[in-house]
Amino acid sequence: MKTNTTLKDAPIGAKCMICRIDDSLAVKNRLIELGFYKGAFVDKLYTGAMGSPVAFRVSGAVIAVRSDDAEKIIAEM
Amino acid sequence: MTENRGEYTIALAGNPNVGKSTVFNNFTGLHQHTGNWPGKTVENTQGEFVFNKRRYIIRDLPGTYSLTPNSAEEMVTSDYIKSGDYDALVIVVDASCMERNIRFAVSIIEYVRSKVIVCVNLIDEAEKRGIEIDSSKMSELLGVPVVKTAARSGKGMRELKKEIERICHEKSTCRNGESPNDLSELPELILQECCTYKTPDTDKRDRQIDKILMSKKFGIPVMLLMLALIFLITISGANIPSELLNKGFGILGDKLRSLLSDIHCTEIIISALIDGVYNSLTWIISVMLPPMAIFFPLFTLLEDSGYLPRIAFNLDSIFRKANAHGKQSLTIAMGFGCNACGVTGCRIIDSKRERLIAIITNSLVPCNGRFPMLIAVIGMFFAVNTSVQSLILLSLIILSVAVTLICSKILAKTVLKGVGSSFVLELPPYRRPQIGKVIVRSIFDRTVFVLLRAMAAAAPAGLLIWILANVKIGDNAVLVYLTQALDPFGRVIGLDGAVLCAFILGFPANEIVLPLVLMIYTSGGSLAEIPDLMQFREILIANGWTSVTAVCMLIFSLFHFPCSTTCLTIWKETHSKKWTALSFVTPLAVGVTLCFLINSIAVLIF
Repeated sequence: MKTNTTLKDAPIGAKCMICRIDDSLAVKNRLIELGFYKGAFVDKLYTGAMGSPVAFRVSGAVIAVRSDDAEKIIAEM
Repeated sequence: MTENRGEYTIALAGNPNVGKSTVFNNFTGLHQHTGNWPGKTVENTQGEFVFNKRRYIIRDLPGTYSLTPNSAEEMVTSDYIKSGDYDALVIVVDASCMERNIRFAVSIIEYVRSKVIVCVNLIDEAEKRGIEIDSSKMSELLGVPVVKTAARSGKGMRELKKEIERICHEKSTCRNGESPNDLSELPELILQECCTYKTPDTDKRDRQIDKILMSKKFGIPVMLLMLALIFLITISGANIPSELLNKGFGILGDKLRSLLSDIHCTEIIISALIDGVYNSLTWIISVMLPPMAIFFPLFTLLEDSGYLPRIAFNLDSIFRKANAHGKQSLTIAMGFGCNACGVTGCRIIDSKRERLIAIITNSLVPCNGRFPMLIAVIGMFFAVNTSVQSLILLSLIILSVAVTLICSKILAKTVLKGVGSSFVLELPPYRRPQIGKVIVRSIFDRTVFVLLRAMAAAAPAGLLIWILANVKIGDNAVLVYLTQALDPFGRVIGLDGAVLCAFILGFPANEIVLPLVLMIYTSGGSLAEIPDLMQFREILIANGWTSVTAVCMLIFSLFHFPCSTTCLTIWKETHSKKWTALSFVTPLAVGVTLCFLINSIAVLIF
């Protein structure tokens, strides 16, 4: 069963496939460069104290973004 | 850049934190500071080396994630790469993070097409993680030379030099290879054909360490504990060498004094040289050298291990509340070493507004030059026990960070309005620091550098104080007029004219403030030798110091104006008198306000 979710709401440990990013162009470009491109798989690893930042394993590296941005990344789980 | 007296220009490009600076250092024999976190190199660095009798100029470009720039700094790097203004471009990639790195490499090759060499660095680390790279296959697919290296140990560096030589010499290496015309499929193909992952979880160990260091419950306590431990080791380790140096310099000073009188120097010159220059110089060395020689290596170990970005991760939610950038905790951490470095480091923050906030507030955290002053005052007035001393120091650090956050918030609500921008933070793999190298390098590069700067400021300042104390106008020395003029204001904020005078004269380097205080107090009488801390305490108490004075001294040491080097750096970074002035006034206003409040409350109570 595949469900759509934002990366903010995806549970820790989930493997997600990126569908789209609804953020501003600059942020979107930066995220794509870092490996959050359409069709890429990312693993949600940890979140910070107040639910932000959120860290993902992406393209073989670990990248953290703030929850406001994670909320704008739509993925398939 | 084409040939210039037989010289070739080569450039190092790549994602952040792939070891470009390590490659650079290996080539040039220079000691460009490296650290295991993305964005360490913020300036274009240039060096040179000779290989087979040819001279090469090498440029270490700041790391970038793409050729599409997101900030002014990235623009410079990307423009330079696109300009083709070099004889060879070495794209450094991280063997343990091929997926992203290879996409970047391909995008450059797509643009530049010739003169490119791919350097697959950190190959030793990747092999440990069970990653194997087939460089000849990769070279075939990319159509450019590929060299596997481990720059830290020097592995593969000779091969890399040979390739550079070949490319510079031939000047005709174009992309040939059998790669598909559509480069967009190339990264996938390379990953499939050239990279073998022998173990499924190549980063298992890192994730386990992360679970502790980045845990919601323990992340911040562990960080504080580590900081406390560093202070404890610094303070307790520095005590004995400081005393020994102090004694040694005392004896040497006496010898110098008698030597000078043997060669018939006049008393006044002897006094100027010994009481003025020599005493302030040797004080700096004996008070500063031991703690710095311990603190810098410890801090560098943390930096090299990859822990600093984790701190930024743990503290981001707090920074977000202050409308500040999450990477500000990194620039604060750099500020602990040196505020001028911290200010330059603010370039890692893309948003101009948030970068200014980070620059203006950077001097609110104490740099290494101020630690000895804090430790000395704590030791004289509040605690003898080194563990208690380090706890007090830790509380002061927490206070300085809290004030940084509050000031950031105020700036973000007033002159630098806006909301916290988005940011991405890369958490690099943990790397075992090269302990021996770290100790040697941090002592020789950072400690000696900071010490020399302090000494360069101390010698003339010592002489100036001596002159001010000995040149008389009317009945009193100039210094007396100066301290008397500052005294009423000093009293209001719990200090006195002598302390303020020392802070003003200490503008070139904060390290010299305490010795200047001592010299001002003792300039009336004669000071045979540099006193130890307890004698120093007696002198301070004799001059009216109480524990309230000491508290105000600690606060004012944390919060006053940035040193001259930092001010100059701020001006260079912002190109604005307004922001430089604000950076000068902000910490000063905080210090004056806090000291005034503390003193007023103390006056009301006692």
